[in-house]
Amino acid sequence: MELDAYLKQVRKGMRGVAKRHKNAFIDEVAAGAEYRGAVPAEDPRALGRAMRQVHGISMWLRMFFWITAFPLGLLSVPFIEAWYPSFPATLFLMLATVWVLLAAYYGGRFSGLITGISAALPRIIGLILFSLGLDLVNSVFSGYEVTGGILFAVFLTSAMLPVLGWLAGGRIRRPE
Amino acid sequence: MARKPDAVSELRRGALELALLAFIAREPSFSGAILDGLAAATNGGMALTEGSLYPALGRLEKNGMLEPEWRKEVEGRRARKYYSLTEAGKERLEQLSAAWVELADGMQELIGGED
Repeated sequence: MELDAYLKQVRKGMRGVAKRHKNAFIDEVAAGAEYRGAVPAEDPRALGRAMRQVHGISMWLRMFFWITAFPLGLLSVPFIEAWYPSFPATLFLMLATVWVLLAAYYGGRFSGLITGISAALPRIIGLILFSLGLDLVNSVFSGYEVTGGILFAVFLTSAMLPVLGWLAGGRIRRPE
Repeated sequence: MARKPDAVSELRRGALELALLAFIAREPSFSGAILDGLAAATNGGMALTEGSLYPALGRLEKNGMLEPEWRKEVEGRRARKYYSLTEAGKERLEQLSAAWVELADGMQELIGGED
């Protein structure tokens, strides 16, 4: 493989890493290849991914994960179905879960935890509001009954998001 | 996502860290020279690939053990990233060396004790 093509693949493997780390590593690999007269035998994408494990993803990408998790969590609040019965809140819960796992995979433990908290926050707020006015809710929305079991299930799935992010972030294999 | 590192890879990682710090302690060096030099200095016992060298150097640099410096030594050639030990790196080298000697002595005694 030509050096330029190799470096391009390394860059792809480092997707999400801050530009300064990425550029510095590309320059280092290029200089190493020049010294040894050959491109590394290592799979370039695997090498890039290993370096992503070292440097982590950029702060901008972390923030992107945190910020977008909030509306996903908001749309996953099941009580929206009281107003719009066909609203796919469960689908948004699944999307939020995948989002938290992605944040954990790319950003590690802390990123997974914060993204999970960001997704869980609107759900917990919704839970508190509905718990406080449960009788009122059940009388206003006659076709939508909120029981203690539902509230517990919402609490459990909400608490699961940051825990999942934390645990998944810790399961990423570090390069040897 | 994947498994927890096992004991062998933990041991390997510790040995790699010690070997890199010890090699760089001799004189500041860059990745290509480390790769060749380490294999030669350990009679092939520590023959690395780029896949294990670069992340290990990256981790040591990130943890403040190594200080990088870009040097352009030959006109028309790319600048090379030289690594040298920081004070924290020197301390870490002392700790790891002491632990290694202790471990090696103990192992030697254990293996030698079979006779």
